[in-house]
Amino acid sequence: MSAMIELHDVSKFYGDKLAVDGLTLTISRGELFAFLGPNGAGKTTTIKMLCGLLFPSRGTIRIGGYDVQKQGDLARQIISYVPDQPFLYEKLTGREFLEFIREMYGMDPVSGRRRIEELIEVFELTSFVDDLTESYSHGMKQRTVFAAALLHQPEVLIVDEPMVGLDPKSQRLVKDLMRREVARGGTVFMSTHLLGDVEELATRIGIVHRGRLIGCGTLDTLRKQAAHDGSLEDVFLRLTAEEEPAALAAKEAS
Amino acid sequence: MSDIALPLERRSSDGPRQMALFRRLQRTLLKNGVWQAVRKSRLRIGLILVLSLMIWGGLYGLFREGFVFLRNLETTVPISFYIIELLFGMFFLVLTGLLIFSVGIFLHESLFRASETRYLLTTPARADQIFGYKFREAVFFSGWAFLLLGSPLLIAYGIEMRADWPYFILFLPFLVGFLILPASIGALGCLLIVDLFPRHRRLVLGLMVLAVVLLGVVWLVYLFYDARSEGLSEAWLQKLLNHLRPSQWWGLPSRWMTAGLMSAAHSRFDDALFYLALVWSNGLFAYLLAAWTAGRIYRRAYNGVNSTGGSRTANLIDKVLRAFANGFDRLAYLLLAWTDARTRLFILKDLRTFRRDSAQMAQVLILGGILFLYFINIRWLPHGQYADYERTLIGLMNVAVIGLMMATYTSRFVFPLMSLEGRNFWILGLLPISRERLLLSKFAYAAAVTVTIGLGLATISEVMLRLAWPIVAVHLLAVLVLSLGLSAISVGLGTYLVNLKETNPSKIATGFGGTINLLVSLVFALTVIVLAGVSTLLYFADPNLLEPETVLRVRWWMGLSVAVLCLTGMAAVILPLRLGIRAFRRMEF
Ligand SMILES: Nc1ncnc2c1ncn2[C@@H]1O[C@H](COP(=O)(O)OP(=O)(O)OP(=O)(O)O)[C@@H](O)[C@H]1O
Ligand SMILES: [Mg+2]
Repeated sequence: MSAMIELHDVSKFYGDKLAVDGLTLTISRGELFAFLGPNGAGKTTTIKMLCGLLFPSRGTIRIGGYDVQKQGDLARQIISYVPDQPFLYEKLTGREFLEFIREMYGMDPVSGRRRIEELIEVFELTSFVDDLTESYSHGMKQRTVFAAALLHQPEVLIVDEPMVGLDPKSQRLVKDLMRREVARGGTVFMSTHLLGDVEELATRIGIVHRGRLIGCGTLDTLRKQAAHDGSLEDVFLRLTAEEEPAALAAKEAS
Repeated sequence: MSDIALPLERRSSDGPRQMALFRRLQRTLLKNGVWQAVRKSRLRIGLILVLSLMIWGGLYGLFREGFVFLRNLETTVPISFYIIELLFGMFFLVLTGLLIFSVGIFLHESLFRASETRYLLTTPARADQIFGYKFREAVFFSGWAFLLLGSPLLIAYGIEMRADWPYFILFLPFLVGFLILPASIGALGCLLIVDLFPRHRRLVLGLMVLAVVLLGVVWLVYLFYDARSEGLSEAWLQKLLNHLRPSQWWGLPSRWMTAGLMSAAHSRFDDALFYLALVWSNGLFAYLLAAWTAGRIYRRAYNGVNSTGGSRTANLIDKVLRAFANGFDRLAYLLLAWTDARTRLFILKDLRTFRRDSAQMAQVLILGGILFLYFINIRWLPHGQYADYERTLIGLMNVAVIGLMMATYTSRFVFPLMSLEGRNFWILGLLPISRERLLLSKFAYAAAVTVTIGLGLATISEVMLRLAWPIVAVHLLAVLVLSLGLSAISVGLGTYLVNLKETNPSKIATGFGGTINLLVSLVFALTVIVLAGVSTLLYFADPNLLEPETVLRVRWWMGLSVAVLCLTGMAAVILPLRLGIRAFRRMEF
């Protein structure tokens, strides 16, 4: 098992506000890592650092062995990032966008086009892929973005709250795809608030609270850590509440 | 590890490949945009084309007249060649400054704040290629107005000079090449300022603009003060020309343009080609330097800008700035005491958004600086020498300048307001404020600013020129009509032609809707100026030279033109606002 994502003592300041605090984490090839935490915990910040959009104030990040800050373009060649607010060119059709991505990653025209057709089929884009994306609904946009993200068969797929606004069928589709990515040997790093999905999909879970990693491992490991044998939801609430003694005390009292 | 990624050798070919890719992207985006507009809004495109042609024709006529005027001057004073040289030099020098700042500000938006570049930075796209792509866009957006202004000037000049045909082929590469150098300097400045001062980049930019404007003012004041005592004579002009010499320094790109174009017009084509090569090579070198810099610092600067938000402790600069901002808000609050509470809240929100937007502030500073310069320079003209009639003409010219400036102001700043509100429309729909009131509050906001500034400047100029009171009354009325009408046009059309997709105000202002708005505003402003001009000129019809009947008729015509002025103003306020309100009511959220 080779390490695909390595964070070593990563901290991030916004001005003098500490958003990520000494994060150390290694994720291996073939893992589906779920990154959980309350609002404002530092998930999106961490993810932005993973793809080199933001630089860590301290510490280093390696993706596929490449230092993200020094060899960023090489690291980004093997990443796909689906942000919480994805971007599409409004004046391109879905197909033109996919073509753009194909060329951006330097894919061979013949096999690349074949792959585009495949993805159009899988994500059921056929009926609108030749319209300008500005006319798409939210779900249609999201499906196009996912097709684009998977086009070059990334080694590392990084997704920030992927399920927001998707209908049940599309959610199922995305979940199947992530599973397939992992089976293919890819690595998925997913931030989400949907704990049900995490229980269903994740091989490992990290819980971040106020910028610090307060728990990391399989569901069972976390259960032991929380000394509680319930659902992930209970475990999550317990772990994040322990950080706030007052809240815990209130809970005990009731 | 190396089996994971592409081998390193392949990566060196990425530059040219990505450049071709981005070029293709740009072409496709343009093609799709134009194609869609052709299918969906043929009327709008036709209108834009017709109005652009009209503006082009108007400018051409104006420049032709100017050259004829200079030629006539030639028969008495043999200096028109120098004057043209000087005017060209100044024209291109001022444009250099404007282009530097406008490209710099444009790139600040598109490189550091746009969602497109945020996306591109997460792909393997190289920093210098992203920069190059956005640079071309910035040159395109800042350049078209320059071409609209420059091409009629140079064609008029060529025809006036009876230039040989190669001139008419050469002037275009001159114009296009001229864009590259200032644009590259602006881009380089933008990158360096953002990288060095990620937190206080707006302040630094503001101070730089202020410094440039102050330098210009000091220079002009010195210039006119020195030449003042002479009176309007050949010696005075000669002295003025001598003082303006620094603008002709050989190291300035504006000088290369002037020399190259004048050589071409006089059929000295070897000289012309030399200067053309100078313009292009320097421009391309500066561009390479900017792209090389971008390759090194763009990502770092991006990180800097996007990592500054969370400070809790404020340093001295922050405290001073905040005190200023608070004072500004409080003043605005007091000034708006006459509006009702809800409207006031909306206006205050707009003001606050405005002062937080660095790009908008900077452009106000630039345009304000130009206006200020203009009025300072009026102040130092030797007006003791002028007759009543000439002073009145200067006054009328000032009204025209105010009107045209105001038309660009409102198109640039007021027109995008409703579009920028777009993202919040669904909230606005639910708020306990009626849609009419929202629209009217924008109008009140725009009108309050334009009326104050416009009437203020006009009053200063009229008082300094010591004009007769009926003339002052007509001019002030014209400025009032201009302020109200232009505000209403921008608010009304801003709603009718709302652009909910775009978040960058300069792109909204230069887009289709913005262009239409600018053209309508200019046409309206010209109408008002002509009407004011008619009344002004009629006032000077000398009663002693005319028969009583004619005098009466002249007075009647004067009254009529004032009445038409008022009616035009009312129409320009009521019609666009009604159009806007109706469109706004129909809008679904
Ligand atoms: N650009 C910024 N400037 C200043 N502070 C920021 C910025 N972006 C995020 N922060 C702060 O950093 C912290 C972490 O934010 P982040 O967006 O990483 O949280 P998150 O875990 O993704 O939350 P959510 O679940 O709400 O998406 C928050 O306290 C936030 O206020
Ligand atoms: Mg987030």
